[in-house]
Amino acid sequence: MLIVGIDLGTTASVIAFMQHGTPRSIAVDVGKNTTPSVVNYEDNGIIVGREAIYRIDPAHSVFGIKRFMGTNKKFFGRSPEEISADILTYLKRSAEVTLRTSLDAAVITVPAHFSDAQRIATKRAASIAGLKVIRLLNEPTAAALAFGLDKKVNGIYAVYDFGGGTFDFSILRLKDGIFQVLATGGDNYLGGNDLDDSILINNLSSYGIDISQLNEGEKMLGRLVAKSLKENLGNEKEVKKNYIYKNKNYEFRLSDIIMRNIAQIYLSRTLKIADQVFMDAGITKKNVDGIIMVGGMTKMSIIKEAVQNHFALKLLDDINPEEVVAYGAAIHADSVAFKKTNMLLIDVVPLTLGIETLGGNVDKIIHRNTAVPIVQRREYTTHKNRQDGIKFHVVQGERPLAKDCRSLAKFELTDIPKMPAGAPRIVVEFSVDVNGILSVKASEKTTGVAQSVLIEPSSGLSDDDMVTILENAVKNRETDALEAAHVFLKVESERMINFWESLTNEIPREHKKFVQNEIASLKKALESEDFSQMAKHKKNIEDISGQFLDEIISERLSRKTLDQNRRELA
Amino acid sequence: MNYFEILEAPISYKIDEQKITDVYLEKQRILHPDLQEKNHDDSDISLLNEAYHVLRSPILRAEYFLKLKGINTDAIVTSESASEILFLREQYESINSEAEIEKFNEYLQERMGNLIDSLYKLENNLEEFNKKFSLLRFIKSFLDRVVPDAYSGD
Repeated sequence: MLIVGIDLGTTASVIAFMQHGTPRSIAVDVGKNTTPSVVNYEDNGIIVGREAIYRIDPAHSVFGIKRFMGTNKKFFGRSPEEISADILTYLKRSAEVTLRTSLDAAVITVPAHFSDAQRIATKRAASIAGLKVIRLLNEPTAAALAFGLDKKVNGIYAVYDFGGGTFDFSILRLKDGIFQVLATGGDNYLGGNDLDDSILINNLSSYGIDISQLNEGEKMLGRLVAKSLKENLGNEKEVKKNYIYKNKNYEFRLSDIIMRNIAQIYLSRTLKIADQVFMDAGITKKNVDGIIMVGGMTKMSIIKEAVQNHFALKLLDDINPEEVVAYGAAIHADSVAFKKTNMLLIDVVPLTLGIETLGGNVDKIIHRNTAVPIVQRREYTTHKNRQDGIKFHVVQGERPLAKDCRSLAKFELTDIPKMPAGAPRIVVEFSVDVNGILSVKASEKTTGVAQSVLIEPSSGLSDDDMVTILENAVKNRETDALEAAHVFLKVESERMINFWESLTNEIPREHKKFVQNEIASLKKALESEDFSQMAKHKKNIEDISGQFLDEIISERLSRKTLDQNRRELA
Repeated sequence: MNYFEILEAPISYKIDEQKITDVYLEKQRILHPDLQEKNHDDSDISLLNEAYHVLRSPILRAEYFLKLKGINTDAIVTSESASEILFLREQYESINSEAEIEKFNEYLQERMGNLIDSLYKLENNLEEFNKKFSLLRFIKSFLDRVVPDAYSGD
């Protein structure tokens, strides 16, 4: 049985496992450790990862689905849970083929600031993909775990986690295998994607085009071109890339100065949050031993410099910032599943949870940064004679007024025995479990007639939807793991053959012969159903193409014209 | 058991944070759900977490301390605190830029720090302690209005 850690990211996902006490990423997508979180729904199947980017088109592609988790939005008739499940299924199947064993359970990471609805949606995605969730783990905590285990240090550390879609900042105490989160802060809508958008808007406006003129597909392509500019900038003064819009070529540019200006806007937001977290933790900067840098954005030197200048603390960035979160998840999965006692994780509630009271004020029930699990009770009563129902509004956030907080759920406790105002004793119980998921119960105590209301987030899939989806998923899922791995291997091999045959001319000359020979061998293995040969040649192609595929994709994006007749993104 | 007893600390507004943290982590090693059998009861660990959270927070600890001493912690407004609250309200309502929010936030944090410092000296004068605490709570409520957007729930 294989237990893994999965970082289900906004722009890229990583799956890792423990090998001889050390976390390792599993190469899944063209032999690479990171898989772009892009899914294509085409007539002949679902494509995930780099090939999905290569084939990207608004009529079939979804990317950045993480930002829609916990919402009702649908793409091509699919909920965010189902689309995330397709990414998870791809990771699971690929890992199974690579490691030749079945994978059943995982720790999946989420941004520390993921709301209740977003957490539940993530759990649901895993169950649709046939993965048992051992735990939902907060991303900055996972990073600290991987770092702490690797370096075997004690002290106070901060984690600056700036990813594709979200930002989190946490401060932890590391002491003899205990990882205690002291405080956390973050923003679920602040990430590399926002920088890409700014780069896109900036370039469009230089040609007098307003972004609102673009349809969803044109924006999708534009963002990808912007993203590739951002990634290619490095230490260059300026980089250029072609972008095709309404059949016309536009030269998109990104200079170091523009990049700095754009980054500055988002950087200052991250630093403001970080300062607040220091306050919440009751920790001064001089007591911190270092800042662990996590997330794709922290690879940018502009970000590193700014964080360094702001805190004057040592930056710890020697574990790959894109894989460190998955490493932490793998470590935690191993530790929880096998009840290892040398390590303990104490995480916190990221945002205050409360109930709206008369006048629209918030009665704070569980304060932010309280360690989980935590249960809190409050007593309320009626304010009218013979009142037999009471409405509750559960909110999340720090502001004193309910209207300024996020609404989590509304429910009504009914059939309260009719009594004079103030006589009933209504106890509301909030509990947050180790996954950071809240449940609320209310009951009337005086009469002994206790009734409970269990709330679930109102957005997302209904329970009935979930049952149907799960039934279908189980039906479609081959019961035999080996059989499933073989089917997956065949499908992937066929796809790989088609893919590279259509791209023969783009393969660099020095590798062409090798790839063609391997493709021929792979075909033979497919015909004879020789699975070990299939796996071998598939891997050979992945290993070599990993060196040039990203370049081909990036080239392709800048030459891509979208077929305007195709259906728009839902 | 009250929170001070749970963390093996004397009932006092002054706490030795290092010491309560040591006790807290020691107890975590026994009670943490990861080390328990399935379907165990979370009430002990929950109480431990609550105790630690309250005692570590200067504001929550002040309130809890007063309650243990049998003092009513309903809001008290003195003529002195009334003028300060009115002044803060005016300040808050006149805010119209990011920079001003930040300045106000900084001011409040500093004022809160001062008040917390004064609480340590008033442990033997609970009436005064309560007045300062009441003002502190008002200041905290202003602070909650100006925390970064990321905390506001949207």
